[in-house]
Amino acid sequence: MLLDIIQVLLFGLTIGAIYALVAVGLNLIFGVMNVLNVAHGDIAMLGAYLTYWFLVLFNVNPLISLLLIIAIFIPLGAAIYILLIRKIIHISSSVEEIIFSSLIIFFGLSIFIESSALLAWKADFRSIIYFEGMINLGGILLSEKTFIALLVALIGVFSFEVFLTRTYIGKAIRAISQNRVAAILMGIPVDRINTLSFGIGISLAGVGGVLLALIYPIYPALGVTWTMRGLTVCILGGLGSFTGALTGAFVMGIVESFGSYFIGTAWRDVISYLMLLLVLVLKPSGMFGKGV
Amino acid sequence: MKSSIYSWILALGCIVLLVAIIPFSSGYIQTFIFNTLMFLIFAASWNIFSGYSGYVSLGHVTFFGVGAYVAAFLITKAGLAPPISIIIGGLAASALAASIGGVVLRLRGAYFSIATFGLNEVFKTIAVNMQKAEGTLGIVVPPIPSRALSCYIALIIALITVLTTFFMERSRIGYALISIRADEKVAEGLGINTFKYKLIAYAIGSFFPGLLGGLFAWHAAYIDPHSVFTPFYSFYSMIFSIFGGVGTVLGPVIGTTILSIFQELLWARLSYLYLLIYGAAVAVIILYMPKGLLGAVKYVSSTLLSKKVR
Amino acid sequence: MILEVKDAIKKFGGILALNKMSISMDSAEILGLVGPNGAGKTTLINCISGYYKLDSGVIRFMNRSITNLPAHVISRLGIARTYQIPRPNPDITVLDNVMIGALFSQDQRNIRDAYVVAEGLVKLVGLSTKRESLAKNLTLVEKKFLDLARALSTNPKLLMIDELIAGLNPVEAEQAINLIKKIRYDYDLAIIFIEHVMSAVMRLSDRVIVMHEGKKIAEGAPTDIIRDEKVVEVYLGRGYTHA
Repeated sequence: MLLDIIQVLLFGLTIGAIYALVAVGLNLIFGVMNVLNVAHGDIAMLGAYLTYWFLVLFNVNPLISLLLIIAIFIPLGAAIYILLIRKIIHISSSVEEIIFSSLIIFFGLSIFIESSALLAWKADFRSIIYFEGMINLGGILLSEKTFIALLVALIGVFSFEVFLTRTYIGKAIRAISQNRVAAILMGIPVDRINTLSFGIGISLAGVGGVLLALIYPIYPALGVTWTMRGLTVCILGGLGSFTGALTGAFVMGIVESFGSYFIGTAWRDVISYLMLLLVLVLKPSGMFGKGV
Repeated sequence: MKSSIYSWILALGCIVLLVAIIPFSSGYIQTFIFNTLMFLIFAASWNIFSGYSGYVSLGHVTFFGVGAYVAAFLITKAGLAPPISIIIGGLAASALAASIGGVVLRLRGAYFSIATFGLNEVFKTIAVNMQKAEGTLGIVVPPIPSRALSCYIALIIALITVLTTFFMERSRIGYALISIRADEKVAEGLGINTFKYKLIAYAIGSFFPGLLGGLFAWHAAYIDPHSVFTPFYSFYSMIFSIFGGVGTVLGPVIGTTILSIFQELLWARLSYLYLLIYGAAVAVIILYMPKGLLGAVKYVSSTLLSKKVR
Repeated sequence: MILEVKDAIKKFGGILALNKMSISMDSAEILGLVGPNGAGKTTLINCISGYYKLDSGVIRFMNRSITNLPAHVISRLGIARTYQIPRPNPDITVLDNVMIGALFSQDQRNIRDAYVVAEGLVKLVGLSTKRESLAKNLTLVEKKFLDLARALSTNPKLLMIDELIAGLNPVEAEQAINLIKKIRYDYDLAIIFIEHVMSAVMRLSDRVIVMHEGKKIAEGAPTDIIRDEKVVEVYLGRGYTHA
């Protein structure tokens, strides 16, 4: 029984770490430019499918794909920022308008990505067959996939934390999230940081998608599910707070893992949605957040 | 834009025309009319709340699915006549909207949108689990006697939706919603109980897709979770409304009519291709033509008008 | 007793905007509220109108507590305010803007009556010629008067005006001052008005309260206030207090 619990806990931590990657990216985008990226999960899904494609077509190791995806998604994110978000910010006269317009536009983007995926890959489930071993950690059996996903996710989260606290760009990002006007006055090149931030946020989602694809079978509709997970985590932890996104992600991962173990996976989505509603009723600003 | 008597005559003419040709049209035309009316109900009902208040509902299709399932259950399990089942389905959808709204409409708009975004997935999951418990993939419903009847009922629902928008726009609810859209806190300062009006409008707007769901179940004779909880319908609701012009009575009507014909004419067999185009198009519309077609027309005509005055 | 604020405290993060602020109004007077920028004047109005909630303290209006009541209830009870930067609904006409305030006021008017009231108020503030113009096409000054008309349309007993005169040229300022006088007498309103233009404060106020760093530092007749040592120090610095 104890071994089971530890296994479930480890799995929960893995999922939590992956959610942390996705959520932190979402949070980053919202904190820096007030855009709620409802296509975030779809972008993760894109990362997942690309990994699958690279594996099936060119036999590329998913971990290499991961690096490729980062390399693709950062400029892709920058492009989306320049084409769409900059214009939204330009034509909006208030934060509410930015949120309104970006919600609709990114919903459109979500639909765009999902229909592209359906056209390209159809609606069937795809699985990534790689890392098919098992690891024995003193009696606890962990699949190789989960172990690698956990490691990569933790490395990713840790590096991002370091990036945020130790580098100039990271500090600039935090400054902008706290007070955009002050940041501008301090000479921070907000537009350039925005562009970079969106690219980073997107690639975090992409990486999250790659890791999730290692563990779960994927299909296009997962995009929406992952977006909701990411949003729930962010709201749970508090929109705008990085610590919050992290904490929320691990809470979510562990709750989900234990929930699946005891109740089964069928009600997973419902449970996480109820968690969202609960947070909105009790403390909408989440655990650490400054709220919308 | 206060409509002149001419637009009323035009509208009446179109309706009479439709009523007349439906029973004599081929199956293909009837299906086209039904689909168009479906889109119209989706768009116009989404517009009632989201178009006027500025609160973006991203899960509009949820009410369609809930209405479909409630009606299907009532028809197959309780033996109720379809028309009654459909109406109860609509009421169930409204009740759901009121419950969710009761929780989420007290908060800022972004939270509302997020909550509606996930709502559809939740009910899809519930439906899937229900089907699993029943051991079936979907629900088979005794079909509607004729496609023409589907069209007529759809036409009636569409008319009621548009008329509701018309009367709501001119009522306290309408004025409250546009004030909320402009600046919610200022609206509160003017004595508007924003929560109450948002809730009422949201519940009203959800009734019509609920009705439509029940009608769809009767028309298609078979529903399953994936066909009625399709996020793409939420998106259609939004884009057809936005294209024609949100916050207006005729915007959704015009937007739906044009885009539905456009889709039919192009006739790509892959519906996903439309969605690709629409997904990209919505960005263009919001960024360059945020008031939609009606807004563009108004802008053009007012600029022309000001030139005439000289 | 019309209004009583006792020991109001309002914090924004680390900033103490209202530091045990108290005021009271017992009659339909014009109360001038002055003080350097950042003194907390607008915050006080925001708290009274329910736009913000107090962290602690009590607000009573017409002998009932309104602390922490929702803003729309407070509006229905008879408190109205204008905004430092006017915020009408830009996409509808002047008349519609004013009419909305009337529609949801304490009288619960129907639409036709609300328009009648709106017509009257639009005429009162001098915007009759612009009644069908969209609010976004107005000049800043016109928007300020629109804001005022809209505040009046809710049929208030207490009107709080946030910097109406600042930014007006002398002719407009004169019109505004006369308008406020007229409103006060025609509607028997209590008025709190925040203003930086001292001449307007002197002419209009029955009483003046001076705020600084969230506290009241002086209170009294206009002529006494300008001589008050603390007030002079706060505006001009210690070197001038011997004037």
